[in-house]
Amino acid sequence: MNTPIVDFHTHAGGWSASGYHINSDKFVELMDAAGIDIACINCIFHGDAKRANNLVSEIVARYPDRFAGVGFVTPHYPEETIPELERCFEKLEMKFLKIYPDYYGKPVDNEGYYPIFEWANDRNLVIMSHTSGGTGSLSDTLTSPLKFIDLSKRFPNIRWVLAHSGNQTSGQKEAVLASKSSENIFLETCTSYGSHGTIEFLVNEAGEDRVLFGSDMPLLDGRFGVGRIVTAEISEEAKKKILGLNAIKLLGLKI
Amino acid sequence: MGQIETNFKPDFPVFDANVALGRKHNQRVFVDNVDDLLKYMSKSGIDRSLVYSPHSVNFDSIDGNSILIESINSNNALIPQFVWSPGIDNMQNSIDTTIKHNVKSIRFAPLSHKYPFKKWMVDSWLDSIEDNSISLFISIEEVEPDDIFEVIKDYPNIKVVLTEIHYRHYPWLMHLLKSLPNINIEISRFVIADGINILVNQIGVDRVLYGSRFPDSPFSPQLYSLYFSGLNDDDIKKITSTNLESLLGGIN
Repeated sequence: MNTPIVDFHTHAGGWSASGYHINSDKFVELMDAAGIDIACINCIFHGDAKRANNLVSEIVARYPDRFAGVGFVTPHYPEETIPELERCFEKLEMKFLKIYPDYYGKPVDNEGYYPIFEWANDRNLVIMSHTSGGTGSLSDTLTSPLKFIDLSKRFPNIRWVLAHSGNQTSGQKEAVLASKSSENIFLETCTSYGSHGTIEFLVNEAGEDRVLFGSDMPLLDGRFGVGRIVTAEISEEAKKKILGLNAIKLLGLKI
Repeated sequence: MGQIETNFKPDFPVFDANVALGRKHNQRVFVDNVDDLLKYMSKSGIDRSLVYSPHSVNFDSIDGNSILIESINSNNALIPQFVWSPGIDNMQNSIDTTIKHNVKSIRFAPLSHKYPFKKWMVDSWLDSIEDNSISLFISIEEVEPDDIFEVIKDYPNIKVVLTEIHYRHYPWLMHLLKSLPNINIEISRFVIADGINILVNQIGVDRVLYGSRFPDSPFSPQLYSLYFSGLNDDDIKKITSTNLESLLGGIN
């Protein structure tokens, strides 16, 4: 089957503490092996958001047909946040914003994020946040999918993408609940847990228009991520939407 | 535009090295009986599975092993793996039962069974494993890497398989695998970018085993990843079946 494949969740920058440090040429080689056309790439590893976004921008410039840039800001430096958002979306042409409250140590509904969310709400942006739910971990307290129910009401113009769809089975149930509360909440698929029936559950409960393929490359392998969608017991149409058509529509990508 | 195989089913023989069979006390698992397991294996192109009882890990090795044999009922597609609990079980009874049922591999679960994986604790059991040419499976979630090294280095003839390796184990994994050539790796959770090729290049294809962790995880995604790994057919076949056959003493 020929269908565009857009990977909503990939990372730039090295993370040798978790086993990888690869360059963009190798990254593209791995995308090709998985059949991925475009990777939405973010860098969330630096305390200096400008450094992180520059790295993303350099990769997009090197492979403009293969990557879509994703911006990043940190609420720990509020004085830098709005100027960096302006740079990301007005100069660097980032397609959406990634936040990772686990690294910030602040829950995603903490008021410290509000200036970021207000800025994004005024511009109808897409924000993808790490999510985790139902595990009893610290991550749950920071990024429970249920927190996005109120956030989507408070910031109704933002299209929220819940990275990992809550991650484990219990978190997936929370993510589905959140998606049912607002048509602006989307669910992204990558996880290293890979529980049985995850994709089917997300499609059946949230709907095939609200699920987005993500791999978490290069932490995880794109072939494994694509394989989870391709071998799921869902319709061909749903597979096409999840693998790329939904992302193209959400981000207005030209492919 | 992305060229993908939406009706993927493996066209190579598959012998899954990591399948749990049976009910669990704390959740209703997706597939908990032989008929449904065989149905899903067939649908996913899995020819055979090495199966253990989760009850053996979670509660009682003797009861769980017994339930496993009863459940399998000599079905040729399901190859039993016993769990031993060196802290409590009678070693000779464990060996006798294992031999009686022609079981070729056993699983240790030190964390679940609450014993330290130290030489003073398991040496006599490992002697028996070695004497009887049984393969030893251990989930990495159950044991510390340093304990694996300190114990297994004195048993170079035992074929050891580490299961459930995850990306968080990667920083030390390759060093352990290079230090101990009798350790093999099952790849159900080893889904880091290009992870299969990295393993093959660094430790050789003969030490890599396909496993799914079914029913917690589906059979197919890692098979799909293998299929598109760029490895040749012979290497894929080794990973998906013949390496495990060899570990189990040439079972076929």
